[in-house]
Amino acid sequence: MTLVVIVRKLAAEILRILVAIGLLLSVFFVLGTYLFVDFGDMNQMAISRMSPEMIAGIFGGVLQGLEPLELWLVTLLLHPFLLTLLTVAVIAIATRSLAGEIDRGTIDVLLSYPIPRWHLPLAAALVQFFAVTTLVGVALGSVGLGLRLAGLELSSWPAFAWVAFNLWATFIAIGSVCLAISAHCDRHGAALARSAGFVMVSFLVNLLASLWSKVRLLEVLSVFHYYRPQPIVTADGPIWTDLLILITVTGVALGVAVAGFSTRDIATT
Amino acid sequence: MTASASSPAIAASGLSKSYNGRPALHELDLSVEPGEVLGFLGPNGAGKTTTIRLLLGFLRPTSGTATVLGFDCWSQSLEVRRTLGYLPGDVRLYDAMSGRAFLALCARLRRTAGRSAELASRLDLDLDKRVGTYSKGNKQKLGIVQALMHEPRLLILDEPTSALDPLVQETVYEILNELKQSGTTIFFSSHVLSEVQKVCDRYAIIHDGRLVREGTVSELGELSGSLVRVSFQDEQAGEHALDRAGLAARREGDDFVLTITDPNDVVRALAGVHVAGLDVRPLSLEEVFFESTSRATCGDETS
Repeated sequence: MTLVVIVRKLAAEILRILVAIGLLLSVFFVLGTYLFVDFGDMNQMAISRMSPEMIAGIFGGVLQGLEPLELWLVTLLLHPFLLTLLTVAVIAIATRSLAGEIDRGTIDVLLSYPIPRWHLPLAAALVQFFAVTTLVGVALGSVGLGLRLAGLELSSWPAFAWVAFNLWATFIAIGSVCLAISAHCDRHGAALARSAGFVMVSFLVNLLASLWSKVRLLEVLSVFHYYRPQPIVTADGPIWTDLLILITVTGVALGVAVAGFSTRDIATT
Repeated sequence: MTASASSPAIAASGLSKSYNGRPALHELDLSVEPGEVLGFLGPNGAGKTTTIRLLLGFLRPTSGTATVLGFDCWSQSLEVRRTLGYLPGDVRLYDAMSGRAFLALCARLRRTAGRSAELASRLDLDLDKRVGTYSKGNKQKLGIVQALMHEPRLLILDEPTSALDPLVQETVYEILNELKQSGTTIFFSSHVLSEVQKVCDRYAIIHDGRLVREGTVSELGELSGSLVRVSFQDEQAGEHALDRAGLAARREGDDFVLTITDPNDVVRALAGVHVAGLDVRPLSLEEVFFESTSRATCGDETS
């Protein structure tokens, strides 16, 4: 019961930022999909000029077998705008709920109530779950709307549904790591900085490892390495090892968050 | 361990807490009986809030144990928090909520709205405004309502009347006295002697993380007093008058500063002397502590 109350409180707190992100994503995907009619060919030509390493770095594999529309949508689904907005959403929820409560001092009253401490990270994880699900759903729905407005047909919808699931699992994993960070911080700012640092380092490691063969082995360390829309569309199905690794990262990070927050000293300043 | 009717409301035994090796609380032994009102006194930084955080299970003791109504404060913190109401010293609430929405949240967490409407009305608190627009005093009132609304068996109040105007302070004392009559145990942390004397049965003074003195509130009266600062037109005559009355004063610039327990002593001593300035105020806890420590030290030296 208290878990539901905490979930509702946190959801209400971050509702505005989620609505704003949802609207931005919606505009980005409707407009982005619609613009395929005018810019799809240009995109294909630009990509065709890239080296195979760069294509592999950016798209996570070779681009053979993709229709122009599929290639365009894959480009949209890898766009930094989407990745940044989803990152903002999961970091906002993670840092506001744990380190934020301590930093603002509101945890003193909240934890004087009969709430098991582990309810707080769990509530934040549930809100992240709903938020990421909703935002990824908005992105996918907006692609559908854009296709309809442009009068386009996409035959590989099931593959793109798997891409959306892969995107969801990636950001659930990122959000869980951010929760683990937040669970061990006293300051909202410190939790924000460390979470943003984790995401940026992860992104750069993936990019660098993809572009530079000497450090290719490092790519497995980046969470973004396990989000690869192109091979999913090509294979018309999920890459189960990627999903398994993302689920494992989520489980371990949530375990660290719950165990850490349940046993740490809560000392506001 | 389970709670029993015979358990003390609060029991601490050898309770210590260090932060990064720096001791904040040192082997505290303390017991509060059910229905008792304990004034927990100490200057800022003495260890009062650390003690409260240990009782609430926010902090894990470095050593020793603390129980509330028989429940261990760390390992059975959830049971402890079911039984109590808590007002933090620096109460910070959710600024975006209205007072009413905040109390509704509290009611859902406690599964009872209890006396919230009645208490808000007695404290003259407008619940329809956003908490962020409240004055410090109104936030304090809202904090008091949430701590008391479910009629807890134990109340832990950290400086409950700070930021309240004198009229509201009196209402709070009145409410606390009613709770005391109904058998609620109250752990009343403060650095104001006079309010502890008004509300509490017993007191405990903590200083530098150590319990330095405890006793009944009537004994506390012997410790309290006033600080007098007096200046004279004729300093020699004034000094002579104070000496004659047996009042020990120290010089601070042109002023003579002395502590007294009975104001009549000063009135008698200054009769017939031309006083240029006179200021009398109650001793702060720090001054009481300093006075009682120096008295004890003098006593040791003479014996």
